[in-house]
Amino acid sequence: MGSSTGTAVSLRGLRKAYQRGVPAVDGVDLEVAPGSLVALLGPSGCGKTTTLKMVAGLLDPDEGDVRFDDRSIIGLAAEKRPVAMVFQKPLLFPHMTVGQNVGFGLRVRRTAKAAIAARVAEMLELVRLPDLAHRKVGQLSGGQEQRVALARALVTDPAVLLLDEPLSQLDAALRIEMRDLVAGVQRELGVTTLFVTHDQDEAVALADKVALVLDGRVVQHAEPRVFYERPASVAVARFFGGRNAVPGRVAGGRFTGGGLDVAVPTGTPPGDGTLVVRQESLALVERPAPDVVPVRVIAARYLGTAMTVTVELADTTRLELTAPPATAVAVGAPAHLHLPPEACTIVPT
Amino acid sequence: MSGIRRSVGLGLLVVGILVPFVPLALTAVSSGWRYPALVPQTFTGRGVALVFDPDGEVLAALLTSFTIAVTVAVVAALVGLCGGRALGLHRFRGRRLVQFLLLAPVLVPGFAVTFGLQVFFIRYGLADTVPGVVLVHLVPTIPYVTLVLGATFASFDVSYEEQARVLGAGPVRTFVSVTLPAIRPGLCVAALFAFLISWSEYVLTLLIGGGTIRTLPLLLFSYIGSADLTEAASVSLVFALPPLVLVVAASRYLTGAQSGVVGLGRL
Amino acid sequence: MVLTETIAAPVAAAGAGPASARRRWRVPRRARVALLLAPPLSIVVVFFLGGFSQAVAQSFGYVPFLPTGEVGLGAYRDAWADPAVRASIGLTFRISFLATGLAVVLGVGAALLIRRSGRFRRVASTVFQSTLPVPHIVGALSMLLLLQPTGFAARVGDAAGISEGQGSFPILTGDRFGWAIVAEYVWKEAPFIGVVALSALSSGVAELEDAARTLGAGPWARFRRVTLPVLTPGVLATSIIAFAFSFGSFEVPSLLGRAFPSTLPVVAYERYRDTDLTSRPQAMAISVAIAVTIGALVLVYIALVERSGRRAP
Repeated sequence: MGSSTGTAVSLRGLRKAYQRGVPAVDGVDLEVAPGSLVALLGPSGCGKTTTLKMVAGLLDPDEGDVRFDDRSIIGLAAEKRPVAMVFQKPLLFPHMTVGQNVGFGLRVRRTAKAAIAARVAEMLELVRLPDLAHRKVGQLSGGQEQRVALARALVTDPAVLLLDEPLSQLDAALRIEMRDLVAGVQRELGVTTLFVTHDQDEAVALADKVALVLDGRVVQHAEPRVFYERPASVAVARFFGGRNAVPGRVAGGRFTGGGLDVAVPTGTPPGDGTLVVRQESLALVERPAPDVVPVRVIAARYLGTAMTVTVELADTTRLELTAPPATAVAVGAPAHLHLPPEACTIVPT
Repeated sequence: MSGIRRSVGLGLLVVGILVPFVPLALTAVSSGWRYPALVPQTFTGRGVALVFDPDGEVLAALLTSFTIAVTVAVVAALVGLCGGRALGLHRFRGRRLVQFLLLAPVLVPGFAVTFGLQVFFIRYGLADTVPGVVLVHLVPTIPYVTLVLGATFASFDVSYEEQARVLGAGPVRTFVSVTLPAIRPGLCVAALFAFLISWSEYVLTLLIGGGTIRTLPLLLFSYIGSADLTEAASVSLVFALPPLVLVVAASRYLTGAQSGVVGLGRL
Repeated sequence: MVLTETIAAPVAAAGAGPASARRRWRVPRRARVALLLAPPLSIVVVFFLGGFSQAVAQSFGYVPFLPTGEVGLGAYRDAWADPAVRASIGLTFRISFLATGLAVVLGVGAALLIRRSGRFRRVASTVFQSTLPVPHIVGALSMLLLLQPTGFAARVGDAAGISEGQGSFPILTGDRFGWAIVAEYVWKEAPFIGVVALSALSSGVAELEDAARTLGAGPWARFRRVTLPVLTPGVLATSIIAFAFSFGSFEVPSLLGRAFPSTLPVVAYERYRDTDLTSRPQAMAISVAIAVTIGALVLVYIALVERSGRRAP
């Protein structure tokens, strides 16, 4: 189904409420480029799984449209859509062998037996589980189960692959191994993929682009690094682990607030704004210099591979920074903080 | 389209289940119901009077049935607690044999066994007595209760008991305040079904009770044999009501107890 | 090593005190299991196995407390040669198979229907299950009042113009086929099987069906390849229980059937109550045959339960 060229997916104004007046998905817009892997990232209950189920056809949206290559697929039953989905649980059919599970999609399409067997072998090879076709599903480990589920989804060569937190029930080491496998398979097949996860590391490591979903809306859709360097809001910065947000005002090309006075990029709208800066972009330096502000060290915590230092600005605003583990810090003593203006982002308050 | 079909199906289902109750309820209060009238011509309180007659045989039978069924439920629950604990919490050799031994009396009809037992019950003075009837009712109920409690104990985490012991509770205290609340749903279901199996039992009571111990099903059976079905229908309602009420009362426990449903097959 | 010794010393000192006097003797695990199993097993062994072996012995002609006469397979031969028993075997199997088969189809069908009945789900499933606790004797009386020639069904048939007055309605009670008996069993067992099917349907089947949908399976393919296979083990096990019950039940055929042919339990009971004590061994022989048939079914049941990987209830 044209996976060599890839299918463009477009979600427009998707809305869904399970209860009247309590929207689970509240106007999701998303454009997914052909053959790319987009992660739908968000905390649990933000509506990302509901969005995925509407793309799969398992739920009907109250409003909005889902388009594949600019053709609407609303009204098309789930079984008629050129999509495949891997769920949080493997959901392997308990009464079938591994091979029968993988071949299921072809069997319901009445494919010839020999063709099914060949394709099943190919798929099991792809997920690195050759020779397991005759195994019963009850004898598989958690990671093997999810790989079989992935093979089962890919067997019909779907135009769009939907992954609903397929790795969340695996332990940490296995999760990273599986993450690489999913990325490799997706790149090899070039199938447009929507990947739902609540784990930002997973999203960043896997996806070409990340769509952050908060309260039923896509709040930012961009390449992974943008979420660190140019978050769209304080909430986005916080979701990605950003620790520092200083409220203030923008006027005359400068941001003032919390005892800071920093130059902002041209084009930043004047008025109230909040300065957001990653803790990794801050550093303690020996002596005053440009972009260095005087601070006092409040606390320091040794974390083995790094050190978290809390400092206080003149007006008691606190900032946190990550320093190399060997940094010598005297708690309570004055220090100098390097605050590079290019690392700062002004977001709406 | 499929919505209409579904409604028709549901309608047929409800009618099929409820229709047999209609003539039963109408017969219980009718004194004249000539064919082919759809509803009785004359009504009577005779059935009600028969049931509530303080010196009547129905109330006496009700009392006998109740006494026997409660005794059976209590004894079966106590015995089943022991066996259930062994089955649910321990792996031992011959476990499957024990399970088979327990399953057989639940499914094999009791009369086959009671035919062989009756001579001994007569010989040892247990025939025609309430203890004898209770004893023979225990044969199908104890294995059932043991199996249900075995499944209940299997999903009970012994660490809770260990936790209680570490906190200073003795064995009795641990059982009463930790184990018992945890297995209560299973225990309730098991005792309920032991009660119901005993309550509905006919052949075993007839063989061992010899007609001297008259429980409700025995009385009902003889009424059905007589020409006057008004009395039979009235007694039927009294007989069917306690099981219905009990099952509704225990319904929230029933959904969780997969293993308990075997009991429904015997009722 | 030094560390362990320093810690061990105070404990040893305390052990010499009053604590050691209270140290209980612990029952070994095996003995504990045996003690726990003793009460239920003794009932089963003494009364069930004891009663059954007595039935077997008496079927061979041995009579307790009386001088033993001729011992042998005579009772089995006589029973097998008896046309009443011959007719009864066919009737009993036919009624049990028919009733169980219908109960499976209707019970599973009803469960599938109820699952999708939306806001009526609770009401529908409550009504559906309402026959479960009703005793079979009451069920038999209800069927009698419903299906007898002057019963409610005939009255409704007349009113609707389907049948025309007395005698035109088909004979369903006390008939040779045992229609009313089958009807009573189905009325009681279909909800029993349905309850098991419903609980299997509510535990994760919907998710498996969703997975099948995204793989391209339409409604029929989902039903045939996912829903039905998932339901099969539980329904099969339940239907064996239902079959065993209908095969060995005495009350229902005794109230709704006719004297000849009657089902095996009724025949066995009649022989047992016969004033002629010589027919007792035959009663025993028939009961033993019923018990053995059901025992074989129990073995099949256990095998099925173990194969489907669940705990035996």
